[in-house]
Amino acid sequence: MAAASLFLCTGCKKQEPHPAQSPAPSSVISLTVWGGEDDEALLAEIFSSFQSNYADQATFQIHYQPQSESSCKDALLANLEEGADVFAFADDQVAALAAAGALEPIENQETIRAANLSASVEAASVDNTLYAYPLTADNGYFLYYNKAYFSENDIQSLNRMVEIAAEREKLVTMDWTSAWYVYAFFGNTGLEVGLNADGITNYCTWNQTDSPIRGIDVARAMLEISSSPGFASKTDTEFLAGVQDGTVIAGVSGAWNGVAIEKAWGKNMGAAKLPTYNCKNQQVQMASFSGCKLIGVNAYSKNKDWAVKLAEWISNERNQTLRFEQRGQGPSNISAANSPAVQESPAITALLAQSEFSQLQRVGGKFWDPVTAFATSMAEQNPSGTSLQEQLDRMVEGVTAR
Amino acid sequence: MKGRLTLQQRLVLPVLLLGLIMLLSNILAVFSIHNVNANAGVIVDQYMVSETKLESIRHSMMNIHRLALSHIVAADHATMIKLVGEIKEEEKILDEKLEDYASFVSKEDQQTYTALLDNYDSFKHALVFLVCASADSKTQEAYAMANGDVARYSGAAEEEINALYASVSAQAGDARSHLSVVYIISLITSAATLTVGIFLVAAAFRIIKKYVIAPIRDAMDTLKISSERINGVVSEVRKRTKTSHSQVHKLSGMTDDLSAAFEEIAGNASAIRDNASGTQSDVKETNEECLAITAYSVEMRGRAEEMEQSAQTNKEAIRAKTEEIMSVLHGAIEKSRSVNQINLLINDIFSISTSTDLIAINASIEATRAGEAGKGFAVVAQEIRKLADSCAETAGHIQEVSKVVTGAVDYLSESAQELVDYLGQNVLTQFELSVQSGQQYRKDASYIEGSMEAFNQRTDRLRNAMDEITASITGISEAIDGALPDVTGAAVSTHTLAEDMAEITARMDTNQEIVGELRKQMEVFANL
Repeated sequence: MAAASLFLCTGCKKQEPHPAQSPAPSSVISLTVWGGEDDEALLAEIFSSFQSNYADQATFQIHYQPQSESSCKDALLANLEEGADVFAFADDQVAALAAAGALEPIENQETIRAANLSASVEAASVDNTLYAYPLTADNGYFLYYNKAYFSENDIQSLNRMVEIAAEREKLVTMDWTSAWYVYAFFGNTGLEVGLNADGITNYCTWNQTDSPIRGIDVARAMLEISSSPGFASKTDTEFLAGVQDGTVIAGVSGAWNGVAIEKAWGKNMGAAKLPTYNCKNQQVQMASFSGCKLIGVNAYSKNKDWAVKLAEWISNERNQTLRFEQRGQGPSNISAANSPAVQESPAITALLAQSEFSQLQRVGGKFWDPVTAFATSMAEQNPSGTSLQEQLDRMVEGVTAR
Repeated sequence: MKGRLTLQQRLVLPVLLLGLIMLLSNILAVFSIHNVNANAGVIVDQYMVSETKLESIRHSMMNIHRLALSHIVAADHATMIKLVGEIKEEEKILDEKLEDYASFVSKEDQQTYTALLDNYDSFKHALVFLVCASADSKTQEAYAMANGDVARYSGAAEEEINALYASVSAQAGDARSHLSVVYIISLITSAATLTVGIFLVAAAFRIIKKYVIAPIRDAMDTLKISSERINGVVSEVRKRTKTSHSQVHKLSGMTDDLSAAFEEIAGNASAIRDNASGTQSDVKETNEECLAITAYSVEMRGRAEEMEQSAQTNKEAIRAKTEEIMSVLHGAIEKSRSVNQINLLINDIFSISTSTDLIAINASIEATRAGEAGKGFAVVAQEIRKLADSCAETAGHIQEVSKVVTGAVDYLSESAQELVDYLGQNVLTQFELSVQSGQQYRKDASYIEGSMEAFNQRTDRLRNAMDEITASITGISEAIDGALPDVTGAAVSTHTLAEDMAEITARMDTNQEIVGELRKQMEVFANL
């Protein structure tokens, strides 16, 4: 991991008495924070205001290290005691982190519950116990499109959009290397995936052969889409790069890219719920995973009290508002979410429209790799030539493995 | 008695000896118990507690290990969360146990203890990896960790606990041996002090028999004889005091009566004195009031004289003023009589007017005769006639006014005369009566003044008499009051004497009882 480090240190200014638990201003509190790659500037500003607020109590060395929220759990559990003191992560990891003892129940649960949207509180809880601080309530995906190429009618169908892109020699993209996005094709087909009662293993019927829409029907639909020159499977970073260089005119992504896309497309930026796709000669609405980003405090932090304060600071109303302004991410804080600016955001509006077809992301750790392998094969037009049903069976076997 | 011990010394000496032995014996016993207790305390508090704590540490280690393995086989996150919480809680408890155990570690075991802490620390780190792998569904890694680092550090820590336990057990064995030695020494010491104690008790017994019991027996015989004699004397005294007590009782009653009589007399004298004082006060007040009335009658006489003088002066002044007014008024009335001259003048005017009228008539006739030439003259004659008529009419008016004025003057003259008569007859008469009243008032005031002076002299004498009476009664009262305490004191003394006599009788009874008790006691000692 290429670690960038943000070093903040200011000298003490006051010599007033301090709370019993607070160290003297002369003491140096060292904290490491893991955050999204694009959050560096935002977090620097947040750290600065945190330091100013507590300048009379301590001097801080706050190190920022980029760490994808989606893979935070893996990085942290690899060496928990040496991991970050404060970290941002996707809500589907909260149960595993709590089970590993990396997260402990937060102290002021009622305050946090009252301040945040109930969905985000639920996402940050295990068995009604809050283990993390809600940070965003927008961890879902929807459709970004360039209005210069697509009409309101065009964006109703993914197949139609791919055709238009092919005609214009442009691209519509979606990340098929991420099982998170691939769920979109199976979510509204009647095929099911989810977490067993043990909270660890999964059930999955994506290879079903006797349902109205079979797994193989979805696989064929995906092959049809990927066969078009107007479609490409691209990661989030590649999608944004394509938007900026003009090769991509539509794609599936989340609110975190809203600001950058608007900067690239300006008034032509459009955001909408996901389109339908052609499956077994019928239009199936694409589904999505919904979720939240959370802030956690490492239970093994050497400065746990200050880590808790910093986590509260990062996730408070003021800084969630700042996060929306700079990164376009939807706040989980009720007051921040109700602000006019948030309510008028195209990305947030699109997310709300998509929420009708979304499901809270609750799948076990065995879900990701098999689905990624299957979807990658579909994106590459089945290079191995293995039968689709066999690939589907293998995928389900992996997903449901114990 | 020089060179010989007193009975007290003979008694105290063996007691002191026995006490000394008892003290020495107890000190040695306490010392021995302390030694045994100290050694037993070390065994219990140090070694046995140390062993218990090591067992507890071992148990906590095993418990944590068991919980970690349970985490791997847990089928759901809820169980894992519960287990990881229990692991952390147990680790916290074990941390405290190990810290607490530090004070039990001997210098020889310090290295083992440090190694135990290091291995336990490594064990905890390995557990974190194990639990993380387990929670992340990396079961194989978790088992590998459980069989690897976790098992290795747990085993090492177990060996160190065993080593510490063995060391503590060995030290406890040494302490038990030492405790046995201390116990045997204590037994020997107790036996020695017991032997010395027995010897000294025998010696004390002999000393008491020879130097205490025998002399007491002799003294008892003497006491018995003396007791018989005292009993006789006491009986005689009791008889006599009972007789005296009866006489004193009567005397006490008489003195009580006398005291009561004196108190009654003193009360009466006090009442008379209070009454005399009241009368004296009344006389004094009467005297003062007489003096006030006398002074007032003098003032009253002065005012009567002033009133008489004033009435006389006013009477003279009124008279002179009346005469002066009458003189002026008469002059004025006389002057007003000149109004009558107006009537004469009016008559002259009437006469002139008549003459003028006649002349005018003549002139008119002559003018008529003159004809045309006399026409102008006729007009003049006509005018003259009008003038004469006007004069007569004016004179008539003046005459009427003159009559009114003359009437008024006459009325004024009559009224002035009535006023003079009124002043002369009524006002002056009233002033004369005032002068007479003032004179009578002055005479009455002089009479009262004389009477009050005489009354005042009598009240002075009465007051002097009351002063003498009050002084006499006070003297009597003081004499009685002075005598009363003596009489009361005599009564009290008589009472006290009676009580003393009763007390003496009672004491004599007690003496007799004591003699009886002494006899019984001597009978006890007679058996020595």
